[in-house]
Amino acid sequence: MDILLQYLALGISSVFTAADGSLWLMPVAMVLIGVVIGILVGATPGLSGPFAMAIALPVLVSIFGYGNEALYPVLGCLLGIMKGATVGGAVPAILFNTPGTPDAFLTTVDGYPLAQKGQGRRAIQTAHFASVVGDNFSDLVLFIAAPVLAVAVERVLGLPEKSALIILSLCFMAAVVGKAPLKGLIGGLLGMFVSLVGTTMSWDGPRMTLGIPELGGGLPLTSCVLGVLVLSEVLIAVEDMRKDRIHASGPVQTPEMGPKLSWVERWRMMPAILRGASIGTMIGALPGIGTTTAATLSHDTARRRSKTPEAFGNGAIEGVVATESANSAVSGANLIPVMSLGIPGNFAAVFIILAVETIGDFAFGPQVFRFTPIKEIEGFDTIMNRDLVMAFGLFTMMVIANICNWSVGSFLMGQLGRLIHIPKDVMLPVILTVSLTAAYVQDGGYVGLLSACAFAVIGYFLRRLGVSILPFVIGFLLAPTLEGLIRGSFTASGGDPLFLLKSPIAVVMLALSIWLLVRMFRQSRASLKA
Amino acid sequence: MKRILLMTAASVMLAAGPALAEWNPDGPIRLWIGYGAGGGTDVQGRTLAKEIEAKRGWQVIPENKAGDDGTVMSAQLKTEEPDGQTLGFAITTTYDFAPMNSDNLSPEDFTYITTTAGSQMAVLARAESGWKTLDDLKAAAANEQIVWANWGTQVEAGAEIVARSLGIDVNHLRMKGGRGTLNALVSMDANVAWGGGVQKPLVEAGELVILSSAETGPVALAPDMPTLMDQGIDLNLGYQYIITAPAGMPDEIREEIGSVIAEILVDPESETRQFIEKQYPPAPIVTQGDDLREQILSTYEANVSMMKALAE
Amino acid sequence: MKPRPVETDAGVPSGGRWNLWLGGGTLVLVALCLFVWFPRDISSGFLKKSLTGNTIPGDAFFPVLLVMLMVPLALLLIVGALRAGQGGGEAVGRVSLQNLLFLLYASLATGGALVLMALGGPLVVWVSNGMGLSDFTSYRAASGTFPYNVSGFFLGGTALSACYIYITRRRLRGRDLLVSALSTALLILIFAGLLDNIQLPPNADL
Repeated sequence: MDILLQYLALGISSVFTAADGSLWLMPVAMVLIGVVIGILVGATPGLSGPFAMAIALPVLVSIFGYGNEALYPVLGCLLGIMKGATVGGAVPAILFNTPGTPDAFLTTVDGYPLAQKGQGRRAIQTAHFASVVGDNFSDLVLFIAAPVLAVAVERVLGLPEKSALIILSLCFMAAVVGKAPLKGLIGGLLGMFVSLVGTTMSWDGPRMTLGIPELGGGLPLTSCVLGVLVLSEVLIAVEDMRKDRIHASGPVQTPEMGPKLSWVERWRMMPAILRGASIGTMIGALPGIGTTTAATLSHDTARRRSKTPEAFGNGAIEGVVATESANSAVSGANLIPVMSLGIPGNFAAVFIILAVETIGDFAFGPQVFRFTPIKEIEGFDTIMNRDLVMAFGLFTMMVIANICNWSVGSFLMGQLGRLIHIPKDVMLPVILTVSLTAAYVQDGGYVGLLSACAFAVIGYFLRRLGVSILPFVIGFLLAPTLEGLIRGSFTASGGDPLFLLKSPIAVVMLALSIWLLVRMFRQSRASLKA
Repeated sequence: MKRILLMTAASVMLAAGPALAEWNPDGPIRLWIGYGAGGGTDVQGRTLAKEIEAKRGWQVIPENKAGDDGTVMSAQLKTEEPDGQTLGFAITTTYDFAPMNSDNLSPEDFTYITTTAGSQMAVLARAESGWKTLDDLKAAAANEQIVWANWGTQVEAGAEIVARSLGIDVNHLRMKGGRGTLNALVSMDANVAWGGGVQKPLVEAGELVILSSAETGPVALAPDMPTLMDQGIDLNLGYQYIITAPAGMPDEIREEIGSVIAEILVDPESETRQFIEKQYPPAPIVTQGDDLREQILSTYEANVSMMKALAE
Repeated sequence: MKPRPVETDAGVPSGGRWNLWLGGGTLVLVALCLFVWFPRDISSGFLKKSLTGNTIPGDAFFPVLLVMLMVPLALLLIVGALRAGQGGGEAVGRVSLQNLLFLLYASLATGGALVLMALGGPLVVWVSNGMGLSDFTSYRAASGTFPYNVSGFFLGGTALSACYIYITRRRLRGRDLLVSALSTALLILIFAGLLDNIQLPPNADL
């Protein structure tokens, strides 16, 4: 217990102190900036949190560099964006029936009718309140669950089990994301496949580079993710706008805002918020399912439990509460598998992992939560588990981000109606140029820029063919880890061809993966009968 | 002794002098650092770039091209113009060992300008193991499995050579870089490890001990410990940080760049020198010209025969 | 404006023979990897002997396992599609000729702008040399001097944004050009002005 408190104190103070021990407010400032950017981005239709994180990461790295001291400012800003965006998305959904982010789609169902009835302000304030409480709730769960899970995992899982766990997560992700799980899984394998290009630790020279020496260092991670995620989305949006000849819509009338939300009303909402937040947290902790599912599930549950289910869809404030508390609660919980296992479950988590891998020498995974005794050595350094200090620092910044969301968020939410006027048909092309520049700058040349372009085309085809991109990105990110684990467990087994089937836990996980696969196949045949 | 030590380099520098500079670059010089941003090599390269700028007024732009200890960078460097405006920064191992496993690298592909700093290669163990010498390691191997952490084929081969001449069995553990091997040692995944220089603070703190030097002379932290060669094991794993260029670079350019770097490294006020003194003690190592080329080529030959002997 | 969820791909139409194409394509890729690409481009094999004589995985170990895993998945995809007959199997979208044509447009626009980005700098240097404003021997020599070092990026970046605005709107207004130029200038201000040691395109590839 003592050591836990010691690490907690170190973690909290590490956010506020520079390497030389002086007061340092940069991380806090970056969290605040991140939250503001996140709220603005969330409220702008056509932009989403992961979108902004993808572009912000290379820019932040160019500003702060790669040293360990860059980690907090960069992560702080990304966390801020992640949290701000879930709050901001509700505003255009309520006022103009246009969700600012995909996860606010269900907010339109009840929010827009409310705004039409002249209760826009109440709806927005409800969305904000439910969002922030939901977010806080899920962060609390994260703070407790991640260390507990990590310690359990570290105790139980060896190399083969960890390999099997990654395989199982990918299968699960493919099974739950999108309507084409088989293709999703092939996409996941393809993502792993492309990440094999470059060198390994074996010193046998680079592999699969097609003779291009620039690829010897491997495909540039950030640029590739930027390409497959952001650029392909821009291409699709540009093509759709071109085909439909949609021009930026003219001025939209902002509806009458109406009365404020009272504290008594807020208090009465609490049970409903906590219910939504619990659903969101549970969903968020599983890899791949994401905010939209959480919001749908929560909205359905609220309607079924309501005494007036017919009000849902026609402007029930409970509907806004249910969706917003659930979709915001996903953002904290999705870091549980990231921090305890190193496995990201959604795009926002992907960028948190990318940042940690790019900057400094920290890494996520079960080793983070080892409570190494703290020992000070004169002239060198203190021996301790720095990953753990960083983890508590991260938690601290999440709390700061929540405070910013409370305070700045409630102020900003009222002003966001204007953002609907940003013309998407001009904004997206500019974003394309910014992304390509960021790719070039981050990854030292045309290697970055051209990889981003190539991955944009891959992403375009995947999207057009209805194949989910998430397994592809996660496979791409996890392949080096999985390769290390597989090679390690093969060597450790003494070259046994059945090296993955030596432990009962690994066998169970692999059997589960195969069961998921069979289900996917059955599902694909069932869908055609329907 | 192939290294010209600092004093010689200093006299070269004094003879040339900044006013007599014969060569000036036509536009910026690009210094390709063969390691990722943020590491020790990167810091050394960037500090050096800054000081060259200050000294000569040349514009030096550092760029990171990471991968396999500088080999990825070198594969790109060899096709550039040898006009002194594209330079590489890596370690001698990149040129005197790595080409062996590579189809597209050869030690003849490069001009070797100057070394900057040297390693402190040593065999390390945890202090609590109670081992003081290689003989203690040999004795311990009778009772427990020895796991030796390394970061690449060359040092793994070195570990195998030491093990064979001690007559013990060793499991090799491949880690990522010098930090990786230290982590493996401290966290008890390994009980012996190679250290190239990053071990300094841990050795000073008494956490780790040096069992033997793997350089041609004793390492700075343990001046009394014998080298492997002293103990009858013909192995030198020491390496230096090195500035290179594509093959065929005119001598006057090579000498001019070499002399400006020597000037910086000899200056006790210089940030690069101070960094090297702290990180790669005791002082910068400056070898240039034909001596350096000779050193790389002969070490390459020695390494080739070492690997051949091991494979048999 | 219909929302396009990022995390779930809702509303995918079922149809076409794309499942067959994708399954078949995956099998072809696997065959190419196993028989052509891997043998030529991975120097250490599936398994190799370590210095101590143990068998350890080579660099081809994991790639081979990975592509072998694709085989059953691709077969399931094909079997599913064949059993269902025309237009069946797992839900799948389609890539039409129009889509490919759009991709062609997009790559022409991108490629053109990148060429301008690469050649714009040398062009500006040539013009300025011709006018007697400078005497650089090459763009490379000028690539550390403002404004020559960012001139190519400015031209190319502006062109890139403007081309895409044109593709999106099917026409280009004066203010679209202005927005493109200003946003590119802002990028220059951030990356070249406020930050050190950042190389804007094409300066890291000279």
